[in-house]
Amino acid sequence: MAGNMIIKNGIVYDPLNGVKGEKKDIMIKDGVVVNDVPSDAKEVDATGKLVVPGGVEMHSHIAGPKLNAGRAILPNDFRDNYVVRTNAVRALVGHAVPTNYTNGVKYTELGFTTVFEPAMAPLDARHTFEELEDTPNVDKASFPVFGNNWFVFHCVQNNDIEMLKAFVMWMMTETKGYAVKIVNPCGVYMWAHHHSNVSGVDDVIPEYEISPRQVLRGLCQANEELGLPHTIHVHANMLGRVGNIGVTLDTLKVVEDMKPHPSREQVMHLTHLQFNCFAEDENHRICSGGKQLAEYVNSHSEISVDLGQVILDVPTCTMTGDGPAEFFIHKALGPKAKWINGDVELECGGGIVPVTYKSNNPFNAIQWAIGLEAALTITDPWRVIISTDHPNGGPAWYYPRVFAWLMSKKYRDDTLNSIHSMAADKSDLAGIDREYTWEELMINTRAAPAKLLGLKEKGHLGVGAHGDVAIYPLKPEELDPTAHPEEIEKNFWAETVIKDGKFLVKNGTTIDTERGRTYLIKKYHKEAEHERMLIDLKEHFDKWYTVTFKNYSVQDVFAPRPEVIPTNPVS
Amino acid sequence: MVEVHTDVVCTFCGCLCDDIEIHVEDGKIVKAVNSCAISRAKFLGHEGNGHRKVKVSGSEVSVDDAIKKAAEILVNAENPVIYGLASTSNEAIRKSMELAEMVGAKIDNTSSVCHAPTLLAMQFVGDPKCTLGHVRNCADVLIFWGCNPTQAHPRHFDRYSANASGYFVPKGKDDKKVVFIDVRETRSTKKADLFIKVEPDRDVELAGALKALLKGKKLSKDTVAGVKVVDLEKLVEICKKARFVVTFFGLGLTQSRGKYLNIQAAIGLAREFNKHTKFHIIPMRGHYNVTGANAVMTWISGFGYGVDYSRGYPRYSPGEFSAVDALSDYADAALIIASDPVSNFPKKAVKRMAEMPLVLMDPHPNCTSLVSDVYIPVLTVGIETEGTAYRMDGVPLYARKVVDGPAGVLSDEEVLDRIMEEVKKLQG
Repeated sequence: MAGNMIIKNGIVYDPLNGVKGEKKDIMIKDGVVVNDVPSDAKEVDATGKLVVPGGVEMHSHIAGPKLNAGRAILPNDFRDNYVVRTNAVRALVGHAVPTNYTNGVKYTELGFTTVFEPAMAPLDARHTFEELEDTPNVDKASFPVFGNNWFVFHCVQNNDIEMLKAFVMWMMTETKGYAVKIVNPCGVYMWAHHHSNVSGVDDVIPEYEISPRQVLRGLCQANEELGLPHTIHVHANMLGRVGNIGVTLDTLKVVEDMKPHPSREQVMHLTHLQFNCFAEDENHRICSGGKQLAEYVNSHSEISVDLGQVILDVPTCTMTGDGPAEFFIHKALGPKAKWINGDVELECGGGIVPVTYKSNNPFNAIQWAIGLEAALTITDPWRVIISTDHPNGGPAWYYPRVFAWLMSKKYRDDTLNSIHSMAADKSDLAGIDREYTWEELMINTRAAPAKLLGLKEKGHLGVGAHGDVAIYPLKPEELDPTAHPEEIEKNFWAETVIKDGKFLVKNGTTIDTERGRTYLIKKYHKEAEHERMLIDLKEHFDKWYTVTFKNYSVQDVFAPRPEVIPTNPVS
Repeated sequence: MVEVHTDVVCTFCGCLCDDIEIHVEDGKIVKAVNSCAISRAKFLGHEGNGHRKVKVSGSEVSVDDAIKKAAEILVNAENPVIYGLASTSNEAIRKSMELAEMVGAKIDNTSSVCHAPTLLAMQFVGDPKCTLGHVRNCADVLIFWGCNPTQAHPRHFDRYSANASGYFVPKGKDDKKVVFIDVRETRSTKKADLFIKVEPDRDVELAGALKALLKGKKLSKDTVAGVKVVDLEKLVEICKKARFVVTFFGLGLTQSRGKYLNIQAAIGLAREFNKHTKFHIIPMRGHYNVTGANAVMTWISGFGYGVDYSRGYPRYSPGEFSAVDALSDYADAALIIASDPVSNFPKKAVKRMAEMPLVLMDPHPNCTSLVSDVYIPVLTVGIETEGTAYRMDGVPLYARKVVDGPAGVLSDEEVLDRIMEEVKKLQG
């Protein structure tokens, strides 16, 4: 059991509670933040150091068959990156697609205590949960994908929102998911069954005669009316294609008039925006659409986004539920590119292509600029989350570098001037002077993701919050990030990490590991609608699935430490 | 009183059929519905000859003593090997990996003697694949290459492939074309609309010729690898016209001359065909959880088989750390889990195994138990205890328990947990 502790004299940033760099003590009792602790509480000296809530990662591919297939084709990722086991920590291996154990330990050392897996094929849910269980320390959850599910199409085709709601709730609870993920709605279906894709939100697909627009609106409405803790989490159509900014903006406009759940303003989260903000110049070549997207987001409070920032010159691996996008990438990269495709019956698909974004490649250099341009143009830090879409844009272990780019104009100008000149020519990045403040950075990486995910005990240090604290060897009162970005990049690895009141990292080294919670959704259904949906669903199973209805549901053993989040349906 | 268990997962082959109905009377399985002949034999015969006795050096001992002895053997060895794993649950495989890391063992699964070349080939090129339900609903052309499903995966045709009807192929076999590529006719090849009889060990050439034809090249010969070029042209045309092609391949391709090069060529062909139509390629995995064994080892160590922990972190070197090579050469102790290498490994490895301290965990005595120093019988996953297993396409299923195992017999997981406890004590 975690003991009582008091973290003394740190410079605390806790944006959700309005704490902006104050010298303040943080007290933890029984794993939870409190106002007062007994006098014998363990003292942790954090004098002058940055003390913040444990980071919350809302979009990182850390578990599941997709990641494992990536590992299987990248043996070099493990051969080249290893740490020998100690008595406290098992062997750590891998960099772009590390083992689960490594993912858990490295995220903790980065100061993150909550990590969500954003794309789970429902049929493969057990595999995802086995890997999550082998991911130590962090609290976790996963998002099942819905955007190409035949049964969703069936409900949308019949315009049967009540059945769709019943199905979303059934799927969410039976596969132990957390949020509705939509990947290239209708496009993955077209790839899986017609060797094709969709090119926009109004393409109509055969068999079901519906469009991505209808799927997005249906799932958005179902999600808001069910009151799930997070909005729909959308990977838009045409990812990775030059000129896709138009489709992306169309996607956002699809939900412009949707009614949010009373608890929030947002109705959609657009994920890894960088991959969907490729504008087109007069010669049909890529240029940054980051600013265009940011301007839309600035005037539309119903949207939140995360970056999918690209890290240059680091071997990494793209992996997504978007099968046609990966097919396109592998063709674009030529015969040497490794390519995995993985279509999943009746539900979804996926693809994997290892890549290295190169600084001397004009396309990649522009991609790098897009993420930063958007991040620095979006004015409301509560609606833009920092991510690399780990490992798609690059491994999350480069977050400190991303922070440095955002906090120091000098640093990103240095990078901009050292990479292909097209990055400066085809984006507005050079003209942006804004630098993130400490507070903004803590909103982007803690308070905002926790809020958008509906996690009330995460991302802040108010009374009742989980005792998850990261202390960094950075002194915000003395350090000027503008002038010393290298300090930011070097020292945004936590010196101390406390999770639920227990020390996991001390002096920058992992001293212990534990097993985190799994966030689940509380089951809710209208009995009549549920029964009506089950009739159709069971027929659907009997006809088309190769797994029986009874064997589909994920057993409770797969989430041994569940934390059930209530839903708040709108009647 | 007959108790009926429905939706039971059959833990025999990589098909992992999950629609089995098991009838239990007085704690005994009396009937298996929907089962193939192999599955029926497994369920009805799961008790074996009833001789599930824990033994050390041939004498009956308590399971506690056997576990202690097993831990001693592993801790005292310089180069212990842990091998098998393909016929147990993921839960047990996860524990095996932990144990391997603790004692610095080599750890390997049975894929190193079956589909390892497939994994090697994938490291070079990747793999366009899909789940078996997708095959059932969509595939209108099926190619079986070096495999014999009728005898090795008896329900494959009906549940997933040649005979199955699905959304885009409602008339089942009538909506499909079935192609077999093999060195001889088998019971399965009777299904073939087109049978391509390739000369043994010449599959690479065949794949190359098909790729050349697909790319529109003219071949200068009339026959390639013993096959008439007109037949190959026919195959290319069938595939190009298809809306959805799936190739299933077996050990005929992975273990004949060329090994991983055969698979690389076959996957390369699939990649090329994808420029024209949907074309997937799926390995026919044998043991019911060999896919899981590869998957678990990969997410724990980064590598699917042939892993060494002697330096405190996982290293991978097939041919060096793989079981056959280690046991034939330098290994000085072994823990075999859910396998019987003595019955099928090369003579040199078997001879050394007979001489070295050897531990076996398996539901039933087998050839390996005859020469093992410690034999610990365990429960059968999917019959006497539950556990996770992956179908040949990676779909994870949770295998149920339908009857109690013999009193006092533990599961693989429990035995491994207790071996680890003893190892910790011995290591201090």
